[in-house]
Amino acid sequence: MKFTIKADQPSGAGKSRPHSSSDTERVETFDCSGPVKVQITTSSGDVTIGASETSTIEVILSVKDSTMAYLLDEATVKFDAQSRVLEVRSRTHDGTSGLRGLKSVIRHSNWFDFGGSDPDVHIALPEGSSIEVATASGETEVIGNLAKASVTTASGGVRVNDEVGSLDMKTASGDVRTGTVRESLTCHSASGNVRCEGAGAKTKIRTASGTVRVTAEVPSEISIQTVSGNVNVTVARGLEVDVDATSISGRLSSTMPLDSAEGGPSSGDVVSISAKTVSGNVTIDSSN
Amino acid sequence: MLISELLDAIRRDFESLGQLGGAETAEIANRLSAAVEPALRAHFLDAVNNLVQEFNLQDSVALTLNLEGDQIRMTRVVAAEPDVAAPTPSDYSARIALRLSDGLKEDIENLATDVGSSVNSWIVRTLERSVRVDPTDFSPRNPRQLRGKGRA
Repeated sequence: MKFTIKADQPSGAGKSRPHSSSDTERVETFDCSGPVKVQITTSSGDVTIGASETSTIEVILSVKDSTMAYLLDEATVKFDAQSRVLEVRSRTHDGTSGLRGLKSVIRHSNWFDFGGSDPDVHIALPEGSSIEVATASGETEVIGNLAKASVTTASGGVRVNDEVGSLDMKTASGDVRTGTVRESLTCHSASGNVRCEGAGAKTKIRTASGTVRVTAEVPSEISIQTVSGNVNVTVARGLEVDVDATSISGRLSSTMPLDSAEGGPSSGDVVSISAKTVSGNVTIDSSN
Repeated sequence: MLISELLDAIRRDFESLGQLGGAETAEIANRLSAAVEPALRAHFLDAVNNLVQEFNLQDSVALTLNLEGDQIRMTRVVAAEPDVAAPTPSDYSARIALRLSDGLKEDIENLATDVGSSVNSWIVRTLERSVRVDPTDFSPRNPRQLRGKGRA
């Protein structure tokens, strides 16, 4: 199968280098001199992002068998070298031909059938890049350090293995697991569980029934709200904590003694924790 | 309240709107309404959660939100009253002749039987609870709180 760069790409668009593809895989590579911004839109395909010290972007789209090879053809992979934006869409509909594109998608197959038919997307890119992922049921995984990541998903899980500058996530039922988030983490989830291994300067998490577990190893401001989900915040030994937790029917506990909120002077290395739940339990503890 | 009932209503409205644009648009609306359902559910729960939390921070009666599958239920949380110590036999020396309806008497007998108590003990215990309530106690039954500073 042969692929060509879209004819309507803007001037300055990055040139795709020769690549090898098969009936079940499409590979595109682009040269870049530094971090880029990536926009990925897919419905059911899994998304894997790998960031490393590289000056090349490699995009691999793959389907499970050759009967779905037409999906590789329909996908859009565009890189604008001037704006340093890579766009990956698993199907043909795009913002400029909204309804026409959407109709085309529906005629061809089942955009909203989350049965797992969309191509999986694997992207290798330079460290410090930013990504925006929109997916319905696909899983999203990030390996390596990114400056910024934004993931919106209905039921897909999100896993960020390494460090990221800021992270913005919205999910209905997918679980979220992150490594260290240096600056800000914002996460809205309905029933998905949220686990953050390293809270940065600001963390704001809202869930309905999903449980929330956050580890803070640096001074940070943590705000968590759940309906029935339990909350656990683990603070690195030696840091001060300033806790304000409320629950209607859940249990509240702290393994460290807490003085009155108006207590003595602060050293500045404070982890400020605000946790509100309706029926979830809240536990504050320290790491060993 | 069943969340699915609310979502179904929104979905029907959405599909009705889609039908205005013809069969193809209706089909798109049908698919879109299915796709957007998880997000609607999340926003709905978020809104109800915020509502309950605001209510609980301002009012003396706490509400809880319980999710059981598709069902969402709000209940009031009333603090459990401390158990009243059972009177000793010597406390039963006083008497009150009580006139009451046959229906109420029957209800009292049933309730006493349910908890394995005599009618006399049940009435005394109930009266004890009423008499011991402090009429000057207006302290709100606030949500549980954990506040303070410490060191990990």
